Amino acid sequence: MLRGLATSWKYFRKSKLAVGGLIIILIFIFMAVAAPYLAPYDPQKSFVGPMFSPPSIKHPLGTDDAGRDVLSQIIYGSRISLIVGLLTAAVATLLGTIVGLLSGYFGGSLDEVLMRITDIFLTIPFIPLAILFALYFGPNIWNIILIFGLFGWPPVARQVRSQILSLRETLFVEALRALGASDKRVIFIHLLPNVSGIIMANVVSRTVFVILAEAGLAFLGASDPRNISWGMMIFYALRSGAVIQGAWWTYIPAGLCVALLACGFSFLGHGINLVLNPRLRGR
Amino acid sequence: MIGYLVRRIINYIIVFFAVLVIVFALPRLLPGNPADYFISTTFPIGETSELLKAQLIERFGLNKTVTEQFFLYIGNILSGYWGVSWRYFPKDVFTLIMERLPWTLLIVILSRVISFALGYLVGTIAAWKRGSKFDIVLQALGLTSMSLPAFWLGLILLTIFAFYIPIFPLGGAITSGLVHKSLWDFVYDVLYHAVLPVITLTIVTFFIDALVMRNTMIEVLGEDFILTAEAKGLKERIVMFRHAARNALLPFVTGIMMSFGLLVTGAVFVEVVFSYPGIGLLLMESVLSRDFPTAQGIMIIITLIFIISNFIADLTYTLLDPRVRLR
Repeated sequence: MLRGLATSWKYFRKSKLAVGGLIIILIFIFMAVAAPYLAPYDPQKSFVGPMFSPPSIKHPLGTDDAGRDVLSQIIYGSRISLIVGLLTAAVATLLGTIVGLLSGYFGGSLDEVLMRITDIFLTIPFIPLAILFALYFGPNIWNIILIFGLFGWPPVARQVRSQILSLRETLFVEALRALGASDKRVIFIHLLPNVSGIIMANVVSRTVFVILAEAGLAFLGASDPRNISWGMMIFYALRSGAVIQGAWWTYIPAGLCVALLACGFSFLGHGINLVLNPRLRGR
Repeated sequence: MIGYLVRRIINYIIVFFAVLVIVFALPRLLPGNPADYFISTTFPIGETSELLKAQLIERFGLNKTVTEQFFLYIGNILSGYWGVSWRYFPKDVFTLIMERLPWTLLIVILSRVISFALGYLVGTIAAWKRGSKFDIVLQALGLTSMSLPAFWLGLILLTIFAFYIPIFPLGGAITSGLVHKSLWDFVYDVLYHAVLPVITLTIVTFFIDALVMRNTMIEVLGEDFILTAEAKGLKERIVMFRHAARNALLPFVTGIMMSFGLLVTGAVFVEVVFSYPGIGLLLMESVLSRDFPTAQGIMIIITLIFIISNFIADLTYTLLDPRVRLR
């Protein structure tokens, strides 16, 4: 097990992209955890400086339309993106894995029904639906996590299922059955570890998706006003006419952070795929 | 083949009804009277609004049982009666959406065509020169572009090309107040306003399109007939485009049709950046003004666009691929 991890790390480390991604993510995690110590001002406090003041020594990223410090908002904003991104990805991956495992392992009519449901969920336009939910139930951060989790699982289910389908036919599963192992034992003790790589890759790719979706929702004004997020900063900037004011510092850095964090997870996912799929490694 | 299509159609009908059920259930899951979500509480209470209120209660059966309401609701949606907008009171939601939809379709279709053509070309070349610098750069850019928020990209373009170097308009779909002298004037004005939104959407999809084409091409390049073509001494360009790319076209086309619906949701964000008056901007307006009927209507219309583009993908796949057609 440990040796397996060590070899995986060896392949992972070879990819500059993957290591870079990991570093980006770690920096943002540090930012989120240490926010109260890093932020020079209270992010929610108005008029700590003049309106729309450009970057200066006092305000390294300037101030917004209400005279709030942009850098402090950016630092606190990392919390929302990370919490929503990771928690939702976990919920979606858990649901997807359960559906995929059951569907792939038991097959038959259960598989048929579950895959039908998966197909339906895949065709429902997700973003407008999330916006509609936020409109009705209020853009509370837990609601957003719940909606993204409940509707984000189908791609995971598909991948886990196809992996299980091929594993099910292997000799070792047959041997387990011949030995009289119960379904529960085969699934949880033997199959689950074999799909753990796929599951990990899915957590990462779902996180990318959710970070972008959350930022998008906030950008449309459907986010929790009590928690500052990067998308929300851009929403306020656009509403207060920051573009025409030439106040690029109120929206460019916030979007850059969304892009960087999403890229970080994308690159990490790329690295995980390299470890999982030897064919991608190149000669 | 017919069996496959029928299965798909049944699937799409279920999807459509599932969305209708969700949209129907949402206001009824919340405490309070569902009528509150149909009839604006913020708009002036005058004679028209009282009349309209009575009409809405009547047509959606808001004083009847939930089952009756459900059937009335389905009937109303299917017959194009989608309620009354709050923000654009007393405008009918269906009419409102149909007025805005062409703008969305315009930028989405334009960017789809451009991205398709460029992606086809670049993907083919990348696959041909697999492992080259060109190919590696494309892959890295593809990975990056998937992580870029479309609205942020749009904002950067807007800041540079409309604010600092004002060669394009800051927003809108046509110059307001301008009387167009001829049709060409009008077309020019429309395209001029569409440039930045279309470029933004294209950047978002282009790299992914190119990568899809590249990966399909690589599979085709492994086939024996490519080796035969090369052994016959055909020119490289001919083998590349006539033999290989053509065979990679089909999965590419189906993939692109399927992503059409996704692009419409992408357009939502881009429209907001450029104040482009499509259904995306309308969706944001309805979120901000808590215009429930319009938001619901947009959900339904986007679902329909998803379903139609997926179905066209199914159709092209079954009709164009003889291996599927003959089965």
